[in-house]
Amino acid sequence: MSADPDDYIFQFKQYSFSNYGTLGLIQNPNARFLDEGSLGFSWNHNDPYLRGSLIAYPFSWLEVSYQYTDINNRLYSPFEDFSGKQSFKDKSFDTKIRLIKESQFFPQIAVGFRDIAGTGIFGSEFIVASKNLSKSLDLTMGIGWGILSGQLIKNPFLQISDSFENRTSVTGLGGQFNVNNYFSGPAGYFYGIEYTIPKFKGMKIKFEYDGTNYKTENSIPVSQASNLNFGIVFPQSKNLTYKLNYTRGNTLNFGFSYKLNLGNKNAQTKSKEKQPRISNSDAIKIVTSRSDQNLYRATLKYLSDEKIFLQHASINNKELEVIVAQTKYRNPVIASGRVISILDQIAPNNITSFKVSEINGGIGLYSIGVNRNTFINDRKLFLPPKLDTDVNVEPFLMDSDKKYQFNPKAKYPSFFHTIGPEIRSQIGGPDGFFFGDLKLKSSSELIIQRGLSISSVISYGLYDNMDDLKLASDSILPHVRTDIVKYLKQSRNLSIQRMQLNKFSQISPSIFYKFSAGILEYMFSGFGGEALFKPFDKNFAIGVEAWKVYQRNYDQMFGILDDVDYKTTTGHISLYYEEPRTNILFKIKGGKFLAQDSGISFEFTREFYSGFRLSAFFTLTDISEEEFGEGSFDKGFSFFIPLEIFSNSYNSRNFGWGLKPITRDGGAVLNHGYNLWGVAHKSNKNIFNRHIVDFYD
Amino acid sequence: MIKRYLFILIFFNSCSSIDYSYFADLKNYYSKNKILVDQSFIDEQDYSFIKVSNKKNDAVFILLNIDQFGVHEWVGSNYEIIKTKDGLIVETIGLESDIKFYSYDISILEKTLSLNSEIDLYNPDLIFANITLRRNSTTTYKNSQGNKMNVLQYTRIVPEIGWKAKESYTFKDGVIYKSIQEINPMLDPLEIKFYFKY
Repeated sequence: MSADPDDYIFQFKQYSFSNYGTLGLIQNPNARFLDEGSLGFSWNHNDPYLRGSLIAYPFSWLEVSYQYTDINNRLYSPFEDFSGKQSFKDKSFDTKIRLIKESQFFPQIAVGFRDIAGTGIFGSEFIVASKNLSKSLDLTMGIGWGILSGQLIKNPFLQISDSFENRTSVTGLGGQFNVNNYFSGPAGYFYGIEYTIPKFKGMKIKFEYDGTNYKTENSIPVSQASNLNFGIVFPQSKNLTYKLNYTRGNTLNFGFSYKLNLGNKNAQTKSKEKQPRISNSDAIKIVTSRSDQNLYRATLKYLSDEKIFLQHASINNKELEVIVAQTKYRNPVIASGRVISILDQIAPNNITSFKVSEINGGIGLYSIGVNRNTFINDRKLFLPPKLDTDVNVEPFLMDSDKKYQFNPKAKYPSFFHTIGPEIRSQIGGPDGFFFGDLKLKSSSELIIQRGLSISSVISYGLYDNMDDLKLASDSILPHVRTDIVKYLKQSRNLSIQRMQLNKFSQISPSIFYKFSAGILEYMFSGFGGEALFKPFDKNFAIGVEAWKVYQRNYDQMFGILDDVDYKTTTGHISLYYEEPRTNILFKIKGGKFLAQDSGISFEFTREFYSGFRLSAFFTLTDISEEEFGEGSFDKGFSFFIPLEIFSNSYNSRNFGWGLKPITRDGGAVLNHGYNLWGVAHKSNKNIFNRHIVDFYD
Repeated sequence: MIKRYLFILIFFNSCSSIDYSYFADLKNYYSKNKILVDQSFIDEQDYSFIKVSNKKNDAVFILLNIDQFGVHEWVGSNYEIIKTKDGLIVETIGLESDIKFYSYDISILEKTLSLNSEIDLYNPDLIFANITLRRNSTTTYKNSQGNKMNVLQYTRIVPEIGWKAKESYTFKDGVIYKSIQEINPMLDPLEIKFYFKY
């Protein structure tokens, strides 16, 4: 927090969300952004629209959002047999980019696109400026196109070219960028203010001159009695906000929004559990100094207490080397720092250095070596160690032929098992708004030997409402995904989502491979493998994979589809590049997809310091838009939130959520479990460069 | 209508499944330290202590370090310091946001309707602001063990920043037993239970 009484006077001072789900005034947008790494959810009812939005900030200059809108004055389709009396549903993507940052005398300026690649119901573009006139008052003015052209002016871009004169309505299958329409056709102006009431816990008043053209928004015009909108915003806390607006001179609307900054270290908790202190450390050192066996046993015990499992240990030339496996710590710097801290507290004084290596599924990830005195002195002064000087980080090859002095007896086969609820859902289709089921899901892993395991996911249905779900696939491609309804309906009882034999290994510190066979995912069984070349100290990696797959029965048991008898070979070459300054992972995946279409998939993932990840992808293959169907090409986004963000203790679990606007068959990839990138991603020096300051956490 | 209003919630859950292990994390995030302070727990302690809790965080136990002219100084395991006088927090050091009263000699037990002092707040900083503690009510009753309980309700006002908060101090047989008060307008109120070992 800054040291300023204004932080109290304008408590919870932050920009709020508009009815379109993005930061803005009431209906109009503004040029404001939240901090990068923020994720928001907004809900708003402004009759006839009920809208839910997810808003993300991959950068402080970029806002992206996904809107899902229920339009209650329009039917889903004119055909009652098809969709009954269900109201219309619309999905859209919006984005806003900051062009100029606010300065003392100059406003912040942004350009934005609403419904950028959808049906165009809410399609519009805008250029908007916002300026703080005082600590309380934020003024916004802008010019809009599309549905933001309610207050007509001459399109200024006509000065540049006549091609901006006309705006055509969106036709076809949707899902495409209608570049020719951008900033074209009639333009309109809008403006408004946002006033934060001092000493009122961040309460705001909004006033705006509405730029929306309600005659063209939606296919059924919405009545408007006034261009002036008013609103009040009530912050419940710094994250939760309610709003009440009066719009169009005839409509009261209500909404709320919730946002979190998930990107920073300790984004949601003040502190994490500290490095463990062993209370009788001096006494233990006396015992461990008597024999190496004692030191080994103490290492085994005290690491195990921290859920770090010793695999091998050796003592060579006053160096204690340990090979460990663990799933508690997502961050390898914190994991290795804790191992060394424990070793320092239990090892006799004649041990002068430590070397820690981590393995995952039989694959060596990294080794980190440190001089004991350097570790002690740096920690005392809270000095982050210098890579390659104070600590040496290098790749690690798990060589099963190498002899170690101590080898804890592993009990194979070992079995891990969790059980819990699972909810599956099908939203917004023509048969009804929501279909779903509640299942009991059992996830297990049987480790037969190091690097060889069987992972399975089995579920049993408890409740569902899918009797009326009947939408059949209209795809002219092999139905590799669009038979989702059949899979959902016929796997309502006992079903196997995965039962996959995995073999992981590595040829060198940089080359990993994996073979898998069995039930690979909920729609396909088969066999295949992948290999990954991932040099430890480079920013790139290359992966190759090939699979022979057979489409499974709809009941998701052991059988394959006899009547369809769909089998294919799918495979890809993947190129990865991690940009170290922005921590963006670019992934290009080219090859043959499940429906036998060939093409390239592009994926962009930004990982924030906390481990929070935002991803977006699109896939272009050699099928036409007509063959692909609605949406024109495959695309989507996802986010992964490390659950330790909300906890005072560490764990490596994520909450992941992904969304494709529509399920189609083109560009579909096999979702086999435990892909190599995920298993081996800690084999990366960049992680140590970025997180070395966490070494003593 | 309810169905329509719920659709956003369901939409958020679309295409996802929930792993049971998430619940453990959520429980960890939302649950509070449930250590029961009963007579045997109190008997086991060598020193007087307070149990400090708020809406979001685990309760913590803080030991009495010094009792100097009625101002109790409590010191936590990470060297956080809370100084109280008759339950009123007059100074904190090492918390997320700290407070300092300039007048330690005010007492909420005084029979005046309002107490005035100057305070500093830290993180964010507000230096030398006027504070008024205005007594709203006093309630006296006997609890089931026959102890005389006094509950004093106050309103804390710092006009400069519009901070206005209600707080309460409960005395058991004339000794502070429990207080609920804000130390910063941007934080949840702290509830303190006092356990004296004399």
